[in-house]
Amino acid sequence: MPRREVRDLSNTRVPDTRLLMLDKDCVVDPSWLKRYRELIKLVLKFYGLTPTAIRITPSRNKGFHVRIYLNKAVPAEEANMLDWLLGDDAPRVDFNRARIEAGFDEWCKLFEAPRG
Amino acid sequence: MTERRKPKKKPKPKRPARLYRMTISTFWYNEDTHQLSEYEAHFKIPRRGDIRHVRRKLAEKGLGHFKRWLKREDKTWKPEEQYRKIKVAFEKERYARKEAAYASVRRFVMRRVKRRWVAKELPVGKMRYTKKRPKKVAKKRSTRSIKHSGS
Repeated sequence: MPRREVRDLSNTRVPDTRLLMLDKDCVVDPSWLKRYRELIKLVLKFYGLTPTAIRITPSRNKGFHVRIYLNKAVPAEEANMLDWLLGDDAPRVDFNRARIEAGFDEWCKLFEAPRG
Repeated sequence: MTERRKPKKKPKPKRPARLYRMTISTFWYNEDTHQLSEYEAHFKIPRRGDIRHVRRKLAEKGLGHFKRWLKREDKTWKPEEQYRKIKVAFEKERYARKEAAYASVRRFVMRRVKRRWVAKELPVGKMRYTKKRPKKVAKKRSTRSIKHSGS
């Protein structure tokens, strides 16, 4: 499979990231999550990346939050593109893109309720 | 008789300082500019203490701060109109080294331009979290002039 090259950074103000955070607003069968992990590995491999850990936790209202730790840092724009490819919430991706363009270093937001 | 010394109480271990990250946002359709606008403020502050307590207090203070700021920033915004809901959300806490009295606030305005969101950063601000301590003013001593009677 041909590997894609990492695009040049157009916005250098926002630091690179090794963490992808996704929001999946859908409750699915646990067996599907196993498939989803496999899909994540495949997609990342296509872009020359490897996940060091994949954490899936239930979200505040419905669905799941997915945290993917990468073996190397990627530019923020590419991280947002990977989020979209892996099925992140679409309006969230658009908001994140706008935040990156504005130079906000904490562009990726995942809101959580306190434990306990 | 020898007096029994009371055993010294062990000081309670301090709760760890945590970095709290809160986002307050609201959006509405601005009829003057015919645009959908979204204002958001991102608060960051390291604090010690119970997470629920700190979150509640931070939300209360942050809401007031956000409303005051929004009134200054956008004259068309009216808090009494119910459909303009304000959303408060927290991210997962991180460990921090020490706590601070002020929260840093980064503000953005998002506008819908050609079917895309465009963000613009507004001036950075800060919000006081702790109460102001009243200044201790030393009372002036009343000076009485004492007349010495000459001998």
